Amino acid sequence: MQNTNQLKTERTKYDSNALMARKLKDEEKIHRSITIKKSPAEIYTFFRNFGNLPYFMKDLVSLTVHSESMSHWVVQLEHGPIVEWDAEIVEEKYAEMLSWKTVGKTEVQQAGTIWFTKAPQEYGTIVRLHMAYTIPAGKIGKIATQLVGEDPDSIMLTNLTRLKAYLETGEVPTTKGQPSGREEDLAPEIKH
Amino acid sequence: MKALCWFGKHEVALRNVKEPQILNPHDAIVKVTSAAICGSDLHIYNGTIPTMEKGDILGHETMGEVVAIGKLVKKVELGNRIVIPFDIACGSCHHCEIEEYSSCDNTNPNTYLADKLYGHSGAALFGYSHMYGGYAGGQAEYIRVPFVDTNSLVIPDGIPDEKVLFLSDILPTGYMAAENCNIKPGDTVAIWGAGPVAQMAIRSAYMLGAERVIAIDHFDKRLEMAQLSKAHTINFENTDSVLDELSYLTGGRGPDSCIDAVGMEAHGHSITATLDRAKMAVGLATDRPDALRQAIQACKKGGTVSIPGVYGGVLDKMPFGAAFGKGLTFKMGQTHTQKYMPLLLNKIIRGEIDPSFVITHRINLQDTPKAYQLFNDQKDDCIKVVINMH
Repeated sequence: MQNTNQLKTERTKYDSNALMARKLKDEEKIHRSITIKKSPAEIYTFFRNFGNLPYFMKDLVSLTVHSESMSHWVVQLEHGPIVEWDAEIVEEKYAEMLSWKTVGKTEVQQAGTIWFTKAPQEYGTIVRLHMAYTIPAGKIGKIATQLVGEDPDSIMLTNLTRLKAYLETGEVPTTKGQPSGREEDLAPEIKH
Repeated sequence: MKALCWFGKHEVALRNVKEPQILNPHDAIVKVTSAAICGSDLHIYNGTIPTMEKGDILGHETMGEVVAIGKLVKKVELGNRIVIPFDIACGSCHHCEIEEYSSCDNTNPNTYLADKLYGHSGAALFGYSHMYGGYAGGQAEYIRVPFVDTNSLVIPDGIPDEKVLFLSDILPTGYMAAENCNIKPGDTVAIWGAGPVAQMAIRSAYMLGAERVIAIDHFDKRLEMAQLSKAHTINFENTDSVLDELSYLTGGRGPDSCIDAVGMEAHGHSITATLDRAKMAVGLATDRPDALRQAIQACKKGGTVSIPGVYGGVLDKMPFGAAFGKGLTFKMGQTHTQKYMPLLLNKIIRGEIDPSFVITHRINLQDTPKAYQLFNDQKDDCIKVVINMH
């Protein structure tokens, strides 16, 4: 019963957040969740320290914290251009949730909320991410809709997966830099 | 270093590639001393495994000496001789904690591919497609091993490579297949296929208390090897009906459990098998599951079908009515290798099993491309190939 009430409260919270997001023109939505074997407080504390985000966030080039609530984000998409935005934290509750939205002029307007809720048994914490964003016209929009695994929904799902891996194991798994028999990876002495 | 790379269907070749580096703090670099070619490598060789890329380094049955370690490695030390399990586990997620290592949440960097195809991604595997993580394999002079404290078994001095190399895959896989059968004293276990995994499953089934094991194949050499492990054998080429024969041998009840150690590229001659081959040839099917169909049909009421054979996609014409009608239990999946390695090493040390009996060919890395062809064409009575690396 308590859970149902809690969910209802969060649903209302999300609705108000969505209302805000609805002001964005042609918004797309992300609803994703993942279970992480850490407590809500541990995950919240890690996440709220934005200096930690580059450890796991895909394509994040730099993140500058200007004040308690304001930060500047620079992202280099894997097969695309650099995009930047200013973000403001609009609501937060220790070990429970964090809401943000972009402010000022940017190509990628967005608003989002992340919730941290204790999972059943010993599973840890359920992390839920809701986001609304605009797909801009032109180059970035094209990339966002055409490349498999590089649309905002896939990127955010990958980010949640990487957050989980980092918190549970202390590293983000990778194969970048490993050997292969592809032309660009061959040992230098026999390349020509 | 030299590494065996995949370039397409029936195309594998040695390339001189850069040596692997430590990329993450729980990594180790291992100088490979022995590696093997697995029957499941032949699925890749035959082009039936999706998301392979040209230049991928193959091999997932590997052992060697630790020559470099990352800064957060705690148990494994430089100079250790280790066997490397084929599946890569993180050791800290929910599934690893309950010893379901091949279901590890965290080691596959490409989860979105497997999530799309299978609903959820399992653990990454060495040298086994990008859907399974795209990690470079061990048919090479060196290999990078992520989370080496979890993905290694340190081998005491004095035991030759050949006795312990198969702890990396086929021995735990055969053992888990037999364990999944829930064998009770007096049970009969029927095994489709008499390849290396089946050979391990035969011996494991006897170790776990089976009264009789029946092996079904059409290669004489494999069936002879199965007989040496005290299996009753059926050559399906010389038998009118495998199902009738199994029924006869079990007093009409059917085997208590059935193991499909064949997987997605079965060689049967039934109508469904012929259809499978035709459909797969023109891209209308992903797998040829005829061994599995027979196993379901043969299994006794309330029995267990255990599947160590690899499947990749969506299966046609599964006799699910038979499975439902008889109330069968299905157990399957990639092996939780890390769970079984210490137990099976002890059995090797105590002399209860010496898995090297399956080796028919010993080669050096240079001859590996030829060995793939030999193994795939079933020439020269080839059952198991071991590559001596240095």
